[in-house]
Amino acid sequence: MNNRKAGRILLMLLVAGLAIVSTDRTRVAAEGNTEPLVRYRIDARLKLDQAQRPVEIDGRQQLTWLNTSTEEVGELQFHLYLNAFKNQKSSFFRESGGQLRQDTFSNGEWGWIDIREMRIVGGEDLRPRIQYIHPDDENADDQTVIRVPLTQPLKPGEKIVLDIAFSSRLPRVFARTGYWGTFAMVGQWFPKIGVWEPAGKSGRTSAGWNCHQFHANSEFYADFGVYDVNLTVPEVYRGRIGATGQMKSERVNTDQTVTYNFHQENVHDFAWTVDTQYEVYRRKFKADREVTSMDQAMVARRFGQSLDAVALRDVEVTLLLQPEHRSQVDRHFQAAFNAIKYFGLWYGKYPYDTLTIVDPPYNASGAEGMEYPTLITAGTRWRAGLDQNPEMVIVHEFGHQYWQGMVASNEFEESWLDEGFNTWSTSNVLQAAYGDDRLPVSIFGINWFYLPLSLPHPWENRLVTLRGRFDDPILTPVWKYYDSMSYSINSYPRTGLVLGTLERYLGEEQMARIMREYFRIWQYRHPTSTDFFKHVNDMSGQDLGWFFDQFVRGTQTVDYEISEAESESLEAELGFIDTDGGRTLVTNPSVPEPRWRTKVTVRRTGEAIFPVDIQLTFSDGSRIVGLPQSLRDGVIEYRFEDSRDGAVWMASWPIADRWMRITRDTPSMLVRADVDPWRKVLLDANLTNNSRLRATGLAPAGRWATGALFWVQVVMQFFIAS
Amino acid sequence: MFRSFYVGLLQSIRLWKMGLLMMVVSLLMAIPIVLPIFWLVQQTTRNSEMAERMMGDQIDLLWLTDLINHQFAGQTLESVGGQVVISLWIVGLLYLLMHTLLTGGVLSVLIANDRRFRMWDFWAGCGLYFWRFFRLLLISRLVYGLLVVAAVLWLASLSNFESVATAQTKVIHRQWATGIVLLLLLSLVSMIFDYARIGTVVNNSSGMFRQTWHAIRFSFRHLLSTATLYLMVAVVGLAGFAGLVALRGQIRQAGVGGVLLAFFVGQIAISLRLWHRVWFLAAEIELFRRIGERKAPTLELCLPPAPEPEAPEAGEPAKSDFNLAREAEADELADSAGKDIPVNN
Repeated sequence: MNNRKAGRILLMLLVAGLAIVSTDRTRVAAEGNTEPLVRYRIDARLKLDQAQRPVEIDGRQQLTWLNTSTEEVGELQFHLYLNAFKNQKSSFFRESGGQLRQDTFSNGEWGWIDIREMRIVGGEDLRPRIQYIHPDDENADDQTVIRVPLTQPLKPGEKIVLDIAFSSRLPRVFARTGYWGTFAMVGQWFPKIGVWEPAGKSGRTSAGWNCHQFHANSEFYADFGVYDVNLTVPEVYRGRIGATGQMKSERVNTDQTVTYNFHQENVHDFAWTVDTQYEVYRRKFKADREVTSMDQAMVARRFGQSLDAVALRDVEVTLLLQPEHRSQVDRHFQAAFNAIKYFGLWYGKYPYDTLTIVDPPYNASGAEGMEYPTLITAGTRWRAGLDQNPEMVIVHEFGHQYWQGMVASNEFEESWLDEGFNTWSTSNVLQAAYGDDRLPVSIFGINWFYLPLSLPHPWENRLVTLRGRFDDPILTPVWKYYDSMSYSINSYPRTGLVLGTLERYLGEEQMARIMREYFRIWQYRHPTSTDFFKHVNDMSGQDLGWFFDQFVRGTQTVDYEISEAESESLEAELGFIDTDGGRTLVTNPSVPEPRWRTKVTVRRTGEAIFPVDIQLTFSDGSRIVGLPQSLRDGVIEYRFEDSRDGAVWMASWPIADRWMRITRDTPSMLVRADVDPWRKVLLDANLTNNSRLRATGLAPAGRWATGALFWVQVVMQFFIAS
Repeated sequence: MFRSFYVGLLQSIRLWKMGLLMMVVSLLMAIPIVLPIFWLVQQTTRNSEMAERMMGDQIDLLWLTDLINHQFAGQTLESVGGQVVISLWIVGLLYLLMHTLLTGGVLSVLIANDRRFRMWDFWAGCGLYFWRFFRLLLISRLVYGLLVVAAVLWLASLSNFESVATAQTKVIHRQWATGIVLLLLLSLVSMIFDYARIGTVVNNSSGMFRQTWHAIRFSFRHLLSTATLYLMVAVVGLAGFAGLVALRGQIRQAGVGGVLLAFFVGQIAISLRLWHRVWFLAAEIELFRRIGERKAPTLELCLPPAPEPEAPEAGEPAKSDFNLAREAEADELADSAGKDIPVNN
């Protein structure tokens, strides 16, 4: 080894070491041991217009940003997301067409953000240097991201402190943020710095800013830090305010305003809300009351941890509710408590002291169902019925405290890592806490009846997902999906089915350990899909590339069927049979066992490969079960076992083959054959062809046809009501 | 009106066979739309685990999802739902025509002096009044249409209010109020056209606009009686129907026995509903006659002269009580032609 080479290796090790330090810096910061990467001190004043609507915010923020990377940083980039609502030229508007989440933008009710000042504290004025950029598309009119070149590059380990004055104008509530009446949901409202990423992160060839434009279907990717925010609001909002973090103080001013101070560490965003109509309820999630010792012991055993390690924390839950939903106070709190409990037990304790649930008013549905750190918006209706509303939205939005709020993947580039993970988690929590959902028929705000249709979680995800084809892989940046439907299907239910299938394939226990560990490792960090794939492979001890390639990176569909299932009688043929020079008269058709030749063919009708289980059931109750042992070198190895005599044999199914036939002589007749009998493959596009039974009769068709007959007759009566 | 309520009830109970006949007709009309459902379920679940799952109390979501995804390739839950609604509309309209036909028979029996159900008379009445009732049906649809248009316009005006509301409660209350008013108006129209049909049969009239006008005048002049009777019969009958529907819903259909029981309870509910229509008409005829007797001088139900009865031809069936009553009425009308007459026959 020569000196130059040794020096290069030393340099590489040094760089690698610094990179590791850099990556972990956020995490260490999160634990409160070192200076945080980003710190916001914001003073904001909410102003009413002439119609007493809360539409304007004057703000001044001091932003401290620490360069934890190994590179010099020559410019800063910021999100100015309120400018998505400034005009119809923004990328957000072009993508959404002014319609999003069953809501339509009201023309003329625009929103925007202006930076009035931006200067380095004690240094130069940066405002003249501000440039709008559009890193994601060719839309030069989009003003949701700016770059600010620095005269002096920021060296590794240096920090910069900026003093920024800004004015925000809220739009009429449309996409998540805005005002309506006396209500305001204030999100994406201040200049927020982007994320500086090292080379190698998310396939980067060089270090740089990750600061995406505001798109129709995503909004989060930012660094963790400390938020210390003073909110001055008109006195009419006194006590009717909610925000990210803990309220530290309330001060009544002489100018008929009130100033609140909110503080929170280890979060990547800050949102707040006011409404003169809010009814405020507070209850404490008391861990020792909500979590039984049996729950705790079970979880400790499952993860091999001590009771203390899996113990949850108390959380102060605040509910800001519309008066007309007063009867649903308990349902809101119970949903939140269930979410805190199950997410906490399964993945890790909720680390914050507070959780605020916001109930937006009628006609502000654009603000419903949103997640911000320690603050979520729910959404219910006049009367709640027996279906899981508002529970579903509360559990889901709370789930984002984990998948996105703490495990802060990049929603723009890999939305499945938060929306999809959360869809899967939400299904599991709802099933554990509430069981199957129901489908109501609602007229004039009342659920008159429920369809005779049970919605078990997570099977409801199949409803819209498996329509036959996928236009995009799950792993697609949000602004590159074929359309909004493709984004929705891939980011939510399809991912839910993928993770549900993975859970059933690996086993519930192993999946639980994988996800808990994934949360622990990546809490307060920014994992990518590659990180998740590697984590699953490492923890499962398997190369699951075939799974992720097909179902996350690919668009293939799975469908297996039993295409043939029969038992032929092996009865002897009668008559004189020549044998070894002799001749025997066979008069008795009965033969010794085995009496049946059973043939079952399993066929792959979809494009995707999956090592599916196979089960054959016989008339004497015995079973032959075939379980895949490995998927290697293009071959699935099966181990078959006959429960009757314990016989075991192996079989191979080359994945290039569309079908596999199982032939065996058996003492009893086949009555049933199943592929994937334990319903592991949630992604199987057609479950009606997964089984073959000997005879099923007319009863099922008769049952539903007579039911339909009755209801058709009932409908006919409406026509003759006159 | 209480007496009419009671008398109508007794008469309709005596004529239970008519309800049964109407139930059979409804069954026959519904079967064609249900047969494809039977075939579809059978084809998609036969020899599959789905068949077992479909014997539960609820439709199997997995079956439904895969049915739509694979049996109706390219369809969605919404589009399939749309096709079902269209099919139901078509069957409903056909059934409406059939019911228009049957109403003639029902009224013929109820108007007859002995009020006995005879198949021949029933069907004769169906044929005799079908085209008149069909014209009444068209007029009634026009009125219903106007009401619905008015309701839609009213709801549209509410949508302005709704779009600026910050609380759903007020919106819901307005919608409810609109719904209740609309329901009452629709009931009123339904009642008026009942009396128009009754008047048509009683007076053997073919002027449907005139009968509609008379029915409007009659209904409004005696609004308290007519509306109260209508609502009483409606509430009692619908409560019974709803009770049977609820009972049917409680039956567990996990086996053939449960399926059959649910089927029979369902058909009893449908029979009850159809018998309920007979009760409506019987009670309204009773009220119509009583008020006619009491206020004969002021009741302006002018009838055209009845046609001269023709001598029966050889082979013609003997006249029933209904025909004889009609002839007697025609004689009476001939004597008092041009005068206001009581409707009592």
